[in-house]
Amino acid sequence: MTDRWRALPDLGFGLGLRRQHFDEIFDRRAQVDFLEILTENFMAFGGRPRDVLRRAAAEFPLVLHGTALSIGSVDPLREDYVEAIAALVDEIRPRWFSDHLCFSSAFGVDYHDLVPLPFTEEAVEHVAARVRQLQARVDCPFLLENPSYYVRYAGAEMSEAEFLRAVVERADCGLLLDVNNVYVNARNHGYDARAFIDAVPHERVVQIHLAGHRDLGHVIIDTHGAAICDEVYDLYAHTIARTGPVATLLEWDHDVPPLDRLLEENARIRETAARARS
Amino acid sequence: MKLAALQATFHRVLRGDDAVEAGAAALGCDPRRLAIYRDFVRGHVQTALDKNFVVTRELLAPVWPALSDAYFRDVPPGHWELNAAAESFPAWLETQVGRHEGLLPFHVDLASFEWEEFAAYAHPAEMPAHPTAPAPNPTAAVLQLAHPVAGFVKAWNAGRREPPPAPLATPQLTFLFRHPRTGRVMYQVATDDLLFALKVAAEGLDPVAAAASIGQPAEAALRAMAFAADVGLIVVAPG
Repeated sequence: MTDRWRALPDLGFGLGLRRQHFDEIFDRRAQVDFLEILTENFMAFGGRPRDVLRRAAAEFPLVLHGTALSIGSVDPLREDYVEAIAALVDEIRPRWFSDHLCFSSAFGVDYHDLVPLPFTEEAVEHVAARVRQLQARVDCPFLLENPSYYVRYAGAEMSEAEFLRAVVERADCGLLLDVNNVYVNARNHGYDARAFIDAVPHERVVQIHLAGHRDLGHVIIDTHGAAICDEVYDLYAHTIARTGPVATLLEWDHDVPPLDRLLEENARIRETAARARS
Repeated sequence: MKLAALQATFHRVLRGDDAVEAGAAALGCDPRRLAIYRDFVRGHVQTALDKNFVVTRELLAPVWPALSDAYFRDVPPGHWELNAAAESFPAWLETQVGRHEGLLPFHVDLASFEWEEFAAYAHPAEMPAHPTAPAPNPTAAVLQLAHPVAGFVKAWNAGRREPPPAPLATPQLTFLFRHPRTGRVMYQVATDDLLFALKVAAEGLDPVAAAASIGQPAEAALRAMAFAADVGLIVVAPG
């Protein structure tokens, strides 16, 4: 079944579609290989965001990325959310859609944040069953992303890398590997980031995220609001050397800079990947 | 700890029902790290309020932190779209009048107006692409406000800081909608001409005949229709 994930295309180097760039992104088509659509930023909106999304679907390869699926929640999968995703997928035909390995709502309340799951067999089985349920409903390949997290629970039955592998293999889904998250988590929880990268199922890595973070001293916060640091670039090169070419996206969601600055950062990502492959 | 129990424990911390220290002890995690999540989750709702109620927030600046804190506690977000967490704020604010210094019924009307501005911007309705007859703007909402909020907001946007106005003798109907051509959010206080144009568009009437039935000249009817189309309350064929 892993051939399915290997067969998905390397889309190149992409950016998120942000309101700040609605006017100029279409003029820079040659410099942006694909666009990532933040699902919740477009799914509930008509008007200009919807018009821009339709144009983007006509002019760029798109992928969808969500934060509110809450795949690990003990609540049932939300029908309205899954139906809305399925309708959006039908409309814009993304190459794949993704969300995070976490829970972001429970007991009927939305947190609008990504809360980590325990690394337990029960959680593996719970998430894998829900991903299979989701994939039966939405006609599009689905990827899970390794989230950044700040707390580790007592009673872990496996490592984070083992947990990630178990979930994606048992669910038979793709992996969106966030290399910045690996770096942030490794620093916050004191493990070897390269060993983590070596342990994930490379054959399922369909997309990579890169982003900036903020070091507060006692903890690093995954902000998506700064340039990518050199250490994350090094980890990205280490990753690409193992996975081969993979669609890579620069995430910059807060304090979004001018498009030229994003393109500059994306050029560095492109060069890093080329060097790693050679 | 089983998954359901873990999520229930985390939930109580995020909602402020349990102290971080108690939650951290039960989960076996660092309380300082757990507090990051508590603060983020609360901060997301507060950001949604700050973004959607810009004028209300500025007018109520001294009590705004207490208001947003109490709203977070009283109204748990129940939708995946973050802005939706702010939707119940005007109705909730009404229940708080008299409990916070300086909070007036005017601020409730203002908050309702500000929410409808966002709702019009985000409204999922599609504009009729090629209307064969005038049609109501499908994004339009009508508010019945006890205070002259539209005039206050107009002055505010022009840089004039006026005191909260007194209630009107009779409530004011105000339309908010996304302009069919520019996409900008517009508002208009209801006038007889706008109400006439909206009725004609909604019921598919002949404007001249409709005007005649109430003793108005054809020119007045056509002028009312043209104005309603120009401001965007009704949608007509281009040209």
